[in-house]
Amino acid sequence: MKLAVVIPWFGRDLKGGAEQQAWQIASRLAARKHDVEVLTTCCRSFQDDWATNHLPPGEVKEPEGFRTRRFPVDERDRASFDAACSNLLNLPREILKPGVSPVSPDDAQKFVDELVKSSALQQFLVSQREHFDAFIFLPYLYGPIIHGIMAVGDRACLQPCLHDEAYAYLPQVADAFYRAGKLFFNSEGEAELALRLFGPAIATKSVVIGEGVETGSLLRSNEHLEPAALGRFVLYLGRKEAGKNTDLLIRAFSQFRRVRPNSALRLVFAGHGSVELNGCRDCITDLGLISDAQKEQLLGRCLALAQPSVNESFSRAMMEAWHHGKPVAVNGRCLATSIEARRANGGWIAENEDDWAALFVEIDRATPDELQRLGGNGKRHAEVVADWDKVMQRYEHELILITPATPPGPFIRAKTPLTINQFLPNLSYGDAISNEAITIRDHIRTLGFRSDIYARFIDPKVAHECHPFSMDALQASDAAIYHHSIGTEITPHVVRFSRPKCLIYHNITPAEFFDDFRPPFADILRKGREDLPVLAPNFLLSYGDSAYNAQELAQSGFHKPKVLPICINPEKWAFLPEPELMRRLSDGRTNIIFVGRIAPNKKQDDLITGFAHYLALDPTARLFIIGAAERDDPYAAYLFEMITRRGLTDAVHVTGSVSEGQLAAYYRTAHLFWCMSEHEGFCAPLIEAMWFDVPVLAFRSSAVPETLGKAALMFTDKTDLAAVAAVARSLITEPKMRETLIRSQRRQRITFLSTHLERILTEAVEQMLLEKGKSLGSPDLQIL
Amino acid sequence: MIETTIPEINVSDLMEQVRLKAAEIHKIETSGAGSIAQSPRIELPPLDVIPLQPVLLLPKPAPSRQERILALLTEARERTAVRKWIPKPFRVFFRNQDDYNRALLDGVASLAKANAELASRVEQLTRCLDVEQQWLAEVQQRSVGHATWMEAASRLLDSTFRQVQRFREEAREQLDMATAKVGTEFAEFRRRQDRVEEFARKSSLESERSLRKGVDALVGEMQALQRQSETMAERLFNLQTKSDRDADLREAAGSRIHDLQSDLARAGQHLRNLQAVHDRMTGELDRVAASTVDLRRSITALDERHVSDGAYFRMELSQQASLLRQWFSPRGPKNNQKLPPSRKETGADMPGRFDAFYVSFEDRFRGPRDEIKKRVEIYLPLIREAGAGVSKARVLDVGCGRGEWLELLKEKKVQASGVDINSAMLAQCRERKLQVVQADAISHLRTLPKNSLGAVTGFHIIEHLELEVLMDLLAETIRVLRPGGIAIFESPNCKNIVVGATNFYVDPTHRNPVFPETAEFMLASHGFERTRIEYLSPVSGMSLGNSKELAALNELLYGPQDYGVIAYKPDRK
Repeated sequence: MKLAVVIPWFGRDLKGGAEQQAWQIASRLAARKHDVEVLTTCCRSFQDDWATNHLPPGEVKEPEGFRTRRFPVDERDRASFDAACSNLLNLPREILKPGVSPVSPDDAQKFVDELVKSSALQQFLVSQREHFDAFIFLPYLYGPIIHGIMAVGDRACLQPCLHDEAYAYLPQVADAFYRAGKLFFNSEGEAELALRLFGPAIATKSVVIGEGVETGSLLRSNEHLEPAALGRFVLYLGRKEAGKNTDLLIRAFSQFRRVRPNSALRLVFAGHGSVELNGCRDCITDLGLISDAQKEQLLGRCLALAQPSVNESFSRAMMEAWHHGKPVAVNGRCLATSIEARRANGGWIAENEDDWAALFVEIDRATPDELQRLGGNGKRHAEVVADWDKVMQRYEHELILITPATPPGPFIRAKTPLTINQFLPNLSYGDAISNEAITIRDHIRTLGFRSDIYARFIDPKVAHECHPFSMDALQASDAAIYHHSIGTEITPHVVRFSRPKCLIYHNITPAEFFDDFRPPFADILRKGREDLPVLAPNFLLSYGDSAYNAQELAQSGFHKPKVLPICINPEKWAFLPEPELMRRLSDGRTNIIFVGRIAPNKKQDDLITGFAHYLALDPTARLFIIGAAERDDPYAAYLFEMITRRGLTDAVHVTGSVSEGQLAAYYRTAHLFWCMSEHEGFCAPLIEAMWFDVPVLAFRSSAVPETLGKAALMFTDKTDLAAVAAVARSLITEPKMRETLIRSQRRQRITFLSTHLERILTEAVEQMLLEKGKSLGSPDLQIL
Repeated sequence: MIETTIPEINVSDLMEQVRLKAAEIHKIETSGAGSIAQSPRIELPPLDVIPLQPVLLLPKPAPSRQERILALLTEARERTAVRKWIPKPFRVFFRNQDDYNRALLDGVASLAKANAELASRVEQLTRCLDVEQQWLAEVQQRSVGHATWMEAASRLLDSTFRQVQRFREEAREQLDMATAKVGTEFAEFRRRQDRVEEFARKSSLESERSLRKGVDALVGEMQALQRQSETMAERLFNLQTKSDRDADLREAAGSRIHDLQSDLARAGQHLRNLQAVHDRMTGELDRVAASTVDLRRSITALDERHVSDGAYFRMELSQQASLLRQWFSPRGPKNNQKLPPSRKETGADMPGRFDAFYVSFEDRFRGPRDEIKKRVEIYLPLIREAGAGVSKARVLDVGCGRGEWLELLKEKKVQASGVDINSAMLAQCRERKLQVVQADAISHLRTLPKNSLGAVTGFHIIEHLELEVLMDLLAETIRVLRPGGIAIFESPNCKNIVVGATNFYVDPTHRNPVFPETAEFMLASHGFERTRIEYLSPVSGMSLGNSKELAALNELLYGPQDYGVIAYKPDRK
């Protein structure tokens, strides 16, 4: 396998998390007999001038068995970059909102364009894209990474080293995350942060790969350092700068000294940069830059390690301390370190200055046993997550997976290529059934058949995916897959089609719901249901998109109907939601949503009533009823009248049909998905909400319990809607309950990924071909 | 009522929470909107007046005829009396029956008269009773009305009572909250004091003194706070008593508000006057500015005219030269015969003799070279992002014309070439050392292998093409682009009605405006993805006004004059 590691600066002795990591990855992959090339620039390091070529361009063979190829950097507009950068860095924390660019598109572009850049490297990536199996890019910012990912597309594995800072909110960064084929995260906290920033599109390609920490091997005795002279001390390892929060540490320590002036506990800094000691010279020591051996000795002698930074995606120092069996104090506002510390139970978590001061008191008081116990917990944890062998195994596993697997060979071979087409009344953009038809087609094609979609009504946005329905197309098919709900003009043609065929049933709403609102439509529905038994004998193979629908088929006389669930892949949300809407919705007010056509069976009227009760507890909350309404629909008029009569016009918004970008914005900012529907054949929005980590509260009816599966929190009667509103309130305000529900939803949603669907689909095709084989006496078919 | 498949969720705990919250909802909903000011006003019905008792004339009592009848009876008895000496059995024979009968008849007549009198009296009394009864009925009706009124009044009284009570509760709550706040602040001070005391205890004597001072200061501060809390409590007490005087206060406030309103109205008028003066002055200034701009514009126009005339002559000369060269070159005229047969393409049916005309026409109407270059600069990042402009993914500019875009790309080290049919324009490009090919765009694209280009661009070309040709162009474009490659087409925006109705027709080689969404749709229908429209070059500095109604008109008249449609060839295999 030929692999590339792309990083703006590279060298054995470069300090910095990503730089060290790149060196380790390259040398360890090479050691495992992979062909590795590091692609980097001639610029020396982060601290040097980004437009100066300090190092010669060209290829160098490293003793570790891999090659380093350097490319010259381009001239850049420093003034424009500095302006854009300081603008970004000075933004107040509260304007950073996921999905909303914190600066104007121009400023964002200026910033990204004038980062360190190398057109030679970019050109190399464009031209050599096919010659590498995978490219590992790190870290997420900088020109070679952002533009490079665009050049190599899904062969890119981005190892972002992400933390919560203004740069991460730029739209160009989001694009890079969306375009990359895989995302490797150093810690669970980092992966969680990425999900918050970029939404569900990255969920299935995210992997927590971890990072190894090498330790113990470097101990040499000729270094002159006597940690014993430092006495009892807490250690800080790393760069000393505002971004790392070292100031907080010093302030907290001096506060601690005021409380316990006679304590012998010291604070020891080691690493690049300088600190203002604030009159605590006697109790704080700054050792400056130290060697690795000195670091080992310090880690061996300290009581504990302090890691106050909030900008960490993975703290090497933390893992190193744990490897030495030392407990670690971390900042609770850093997702990555705090999640890790909590899981390991290997130290303490503190947020503000007082917490940290108290924490020093605790360390000062702690008995050696207590420190050892916490440190031991950390050590056990680090041995699992930060062991290089285990990490490298994960790399190999993931990198092999991204090289395209050979598609499964056809199990039935025909002498002439067979055509399996799909027929449906309409194909529209973004709707679950249409997406499913496209997935089915693609899968059938990978099985080695010809396959197309034919529809009676076609949405222009998906016109290139399908053809208009014609009798000729039907006659030219060797087998047909027909999507059915209420019958249309294509139904009789498909019924008369004599070759193998199968029916996928997408449910018919019970007519009673429409009796009060649209009697003619109710009649159509009634007729559709009456026609089902007529269709039954014509289709030997039938599928419902839920067990509930399959059961309806069985009741109508279909022979052993099976279940082919609707598939929902989160990759379809690989774009930034509409920024203006996103900004408006993330204003701190509670957003409750429901997504679905405006229809009496969906019971949006009950939702409004329930929400009116909810408003008593949360007067500024908003309800968004999202979904298309038919023109002049009486039920919609009824809803509008109801909203006006109850004086809810400011709180309840009926959006009508929305674009994908708007829908994503609603999902990204929703606090609750509240479903009152009394009839659903499947209800795809429930799963969509799960992908966006929106808690779902639903009325138990029809296929809803089945779709919610192991993540169901349902109410079973609607007599007291105030009580239902109270449940809604609990789901919004009780973090524990919310987290529990979201955890279950994350397990449930993956059962609707297309991989699951493909297995069932292969079976369906197999069945149809067997049938064909029988009818033809299998002269031209060979079953494998 | 709640059902879950999640084992970690404890339904009974949740139900407990729900019961509490639901009770809260009911409480808030039944107590009205929550605050006294918003509680509903109960209207009492007006009270009915009870009608006066009707005046009745009762009939006089009928005269009693008893005496007269008794007298008659006595007389009759006397008349029939017989002498006592006649023995009883014979007395019957000596009775004076006539007198007796007469007396009896008289008695009967008298009885009858009495009877008639009585009957008429009874009738009169009945009538009186009727009237009386009617009155009573009315009175009763009123009394029912009074009862409902009383009921309403009692409800009003009730709610007033409740309001008073709630007000009292709210006040008490506020008082409690304030007290609690004071309490926590007090505790905070106590905590700080404790800490300071600890410092004091542990520190040396000198620092102890200074700390003591600190403690004293803190204690002083604490006392101040305590005093403050007392005044706060007092204020709250006042607030409570104030509620009684609320009505008077409200009235006073009403009149005060009225005064303020009239003051405000006066101030508003004053402001409007000032605004008018300001507007007049701004208008003057604008007029001055406008005439300056006009002057400058006519100077520029003169300049440009000058330049473009020069260009025209130069072009004409170069055209003549090239024609002469063709004429004299041995394979010249034959070459023309070999051109691909498709005649429908861009200007291919326009004989070469118009080339120079079109160049100078462009110079005159399309705008100065530098301005165009600046305008197309916005596409540069897109080209970079798509990774185009390198040796294996070059940019091809279809209908490159004078080559402003190609020149910009060259300056930015982006590898690109152009194709155009107009020899005079190409001569200009070659002068600038730009890589160009003279050919019909579609024929040229057909000669390129598939997946070979990084970007295909076309500025102001699609509006020159027939639909069929345009569709061919798009089909060829997606074929030659490599996966992920970008296509950019710019064209006049006919949504600006000045462009759509007039400016578009400035160029005689234009066919039809291509509606922006139509262009986007065409690209999408050819299989391009991530299509989008960028609207460009709005008419700057022109506006009918800022009101909402005028915004739409502004857009129609002064909105973007061009648009670019951007699309990508799908990348997934």
